[in-house]
Amino acid sequence: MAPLLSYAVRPAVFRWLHLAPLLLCLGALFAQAQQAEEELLPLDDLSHVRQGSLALASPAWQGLKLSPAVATRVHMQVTGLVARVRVEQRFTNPSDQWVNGTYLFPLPEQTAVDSLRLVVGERVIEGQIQPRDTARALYQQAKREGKKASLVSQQRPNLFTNQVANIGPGETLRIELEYQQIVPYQGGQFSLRFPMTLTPRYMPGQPLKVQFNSLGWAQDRDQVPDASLISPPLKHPDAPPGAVALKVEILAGMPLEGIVSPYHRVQIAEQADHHYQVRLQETEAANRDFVLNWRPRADSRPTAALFSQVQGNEQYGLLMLMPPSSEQPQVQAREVVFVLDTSGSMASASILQAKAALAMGIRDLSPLDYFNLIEFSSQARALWREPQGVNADSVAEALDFIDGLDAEGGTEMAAALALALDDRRQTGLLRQVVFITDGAVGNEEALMTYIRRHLGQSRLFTVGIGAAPNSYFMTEAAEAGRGTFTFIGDLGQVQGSMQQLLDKLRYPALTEVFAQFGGKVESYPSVLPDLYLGEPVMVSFRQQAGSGQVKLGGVYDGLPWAVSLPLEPQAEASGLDKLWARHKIAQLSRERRQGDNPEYYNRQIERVAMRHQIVSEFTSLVALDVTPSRPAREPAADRAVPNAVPQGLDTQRVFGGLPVGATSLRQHLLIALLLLAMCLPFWMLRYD
Amino acid sequence: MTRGWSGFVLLGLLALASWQVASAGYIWAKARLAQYLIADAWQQMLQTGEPVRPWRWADTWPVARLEIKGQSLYVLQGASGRVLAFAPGHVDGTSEPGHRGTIAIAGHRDTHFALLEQVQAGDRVTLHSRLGLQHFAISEGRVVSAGDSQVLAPTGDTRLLLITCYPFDGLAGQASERYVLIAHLVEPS
Repeated sequence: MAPLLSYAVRPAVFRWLHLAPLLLCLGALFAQAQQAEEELLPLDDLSHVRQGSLALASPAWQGLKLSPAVATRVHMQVTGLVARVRVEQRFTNPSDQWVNGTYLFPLPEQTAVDSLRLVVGERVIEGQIQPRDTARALYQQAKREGKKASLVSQQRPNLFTNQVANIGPGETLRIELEYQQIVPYQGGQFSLRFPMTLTPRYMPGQPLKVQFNSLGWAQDRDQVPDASLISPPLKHPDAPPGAVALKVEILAGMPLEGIVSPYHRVQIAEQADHHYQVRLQETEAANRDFVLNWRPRADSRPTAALFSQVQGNEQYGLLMLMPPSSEQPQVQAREVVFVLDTSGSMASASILQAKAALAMGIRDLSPLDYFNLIEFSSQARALWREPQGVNADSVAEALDFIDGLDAEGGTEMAAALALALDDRRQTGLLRQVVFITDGAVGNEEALMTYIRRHLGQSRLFTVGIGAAPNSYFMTEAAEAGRGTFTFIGDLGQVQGSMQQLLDKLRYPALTEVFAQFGGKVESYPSVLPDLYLGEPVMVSFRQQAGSGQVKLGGVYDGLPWAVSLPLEPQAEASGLDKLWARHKIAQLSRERRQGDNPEYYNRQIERVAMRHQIVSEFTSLVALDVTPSRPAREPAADRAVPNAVPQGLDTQRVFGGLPVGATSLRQHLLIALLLLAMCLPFWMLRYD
Repeated sequence: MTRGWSGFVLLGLLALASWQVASAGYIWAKARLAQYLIADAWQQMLQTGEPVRPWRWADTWPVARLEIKGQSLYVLQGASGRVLAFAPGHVDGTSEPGHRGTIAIAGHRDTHFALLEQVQAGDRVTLHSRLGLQHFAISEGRVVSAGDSQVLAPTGDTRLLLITCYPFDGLAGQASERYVLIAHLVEPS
């Protein structure tokens, strides 16, 4: 049996960072954001914007300078398996008007956001968790009364908005929010991810009537009723993305090796024993997700860990256990369906990564396997009607098919899922679906419900591609599909990440995993997922204070396996109650998808979130100033703060604009005239 | 010798020129002739109350008839390039003709909506729909960038937007600006 390993844990002390002043980004934005309501700019000026010259340069650019800029500073402290993160957003209003800002920002999935501070000059205003509607009403009232206020609401479990009211001319407001998250540990490696911007999501369905509100680029649709809320304007592609300063402190409690940030240049320093500090160069742009990986040294790799926190007479805990791996696992025969997203948001860099990943997956198949390929954008189509055996011909045909694919069109994922999960043709083999996408869709809930209902005997493995994929959707889709989620950030990562996934697919998983507690314990997730090679069991639990026992087990390669552990707290940690609440909410959302009574679950979610004071679908954080700062007669204009365009995203393929009101009729006529004019000399040559 | 190859070049140039003229003619003919087919579908729709496709493979149907500058134009549903080749189109997501709110109709500057260049403030526009007549008076014209869908936003009143590419004498089938005429609801005169 594996010994419980305790991490040396120090109390979470936050030190303030005093990094050099950040570059504020005031780039040119999409026209829709610039011209929220003031009159239009003269034509000559608009043509400048298109050419991508910076709006800031000229004093004639009054209209564009009005958008509040946002600069971000992130501080993460990792203690064992848990990270506490503070995100500071600085809103600057360079205009001579009062403005209200709206900023949509992504966070990692399953984070427990619990603290908001609004800093105005010297004063610090603490935020409070309130039921969503109450919070919104309080914020609106303060906004009307000319008071400074900030409202943080969850739009999706990995997507939040921050609204800020009444920023004075030339004023800067600082907003700090904090959250807690688990650091995923897999195959002996920890991996921490911080999303930097958004890939615009495809909004399926018919437009709802006259819902052109506000500040997003998308209209509300029947399948995505809040489309305008989750589609912030993007900066002009040529404008510099907002700067993000990021610092990570790892209190590892054990020697680490291989601290690597695959997509950003970072400085790494060992501060003290087993205490590491990682800094992101400040010039790095916020146009791709930040990832940091590290590994405990081989001789001190933990096989089990237990963290706990006592609150009153309750004990909250987080349990991690590596299942045993046999020396030479059996390779299993499978039917593998590869699904590739070829929609517009995948264009350029993403599609290359996806193709490379796909080709690797196909070359890795064993001769015992069967496979098929599906590609989808506005429609889905399969390469073959039936899965084919693996031989030189079928592999060559598949690779040819992949070669000819191009990214364009919508993201009708439901059609692709229907095709991929259709298992009516029994092969009797283990059925695995490998779904390669950026997950840029707005109708996540409907898709996850679909997966849960139609999964059958298949297993769904999602592979996230691109600089800023929708990882909440892909993690939950993999959860619903009883598979795993793999993230590939750039072409250089395809090899490593795919190999890890392919190993998982090839070797048997630990199935029917259970955690049995003695005594009254509420633990999440309530149904433990299958565990693939290198994956630990993770359970978040709450019990009456005191100790007990937990029995963990499952079936590995046809044989039962179980282990008992004493629940003796070995390491103290803070914020485990909030993480537990977050897991409980995730579980409630899953049950809501299956059940017929969503109202019941909605109330439960609100109750849990209120009790543990975290932001959820039904609770928001609101910070209100007491004294009005905006003079009553001066109105405040609403502004949306643009996000950076994710690296490698082709905006022309994602957005439309106003309808095109021209044909090439005159162009044809002009060319005809020119051609006729060119005839003249030859004509004269013939007849002179 | 020179005369020999110059003949070929001449022939080639003439062929290219006629191809271009034919392309332009095709665009023009499509825009003109479709209006007759749509007129039939419109009549049928008025009788049955159901949307009628003007031709079998059409993915659109007439939703309104626009009277402006003494001309009558049938308006189809949707404003994609496929639709606008045949007729002005009602922009998805804006209010439907006959309803309250912002109703937007887009057309090509070089075919149906070429006449917008002559429209003056105060000119009357009549919109026939399944629900009856709406009378509008033009109040202003604006030039906006192609990405600026903000003009489509509801403003609380009932207004008609006529959208085409700008400038009017542009040559290409693409343009980065749009000309938007804004008309307000008035009493019939």
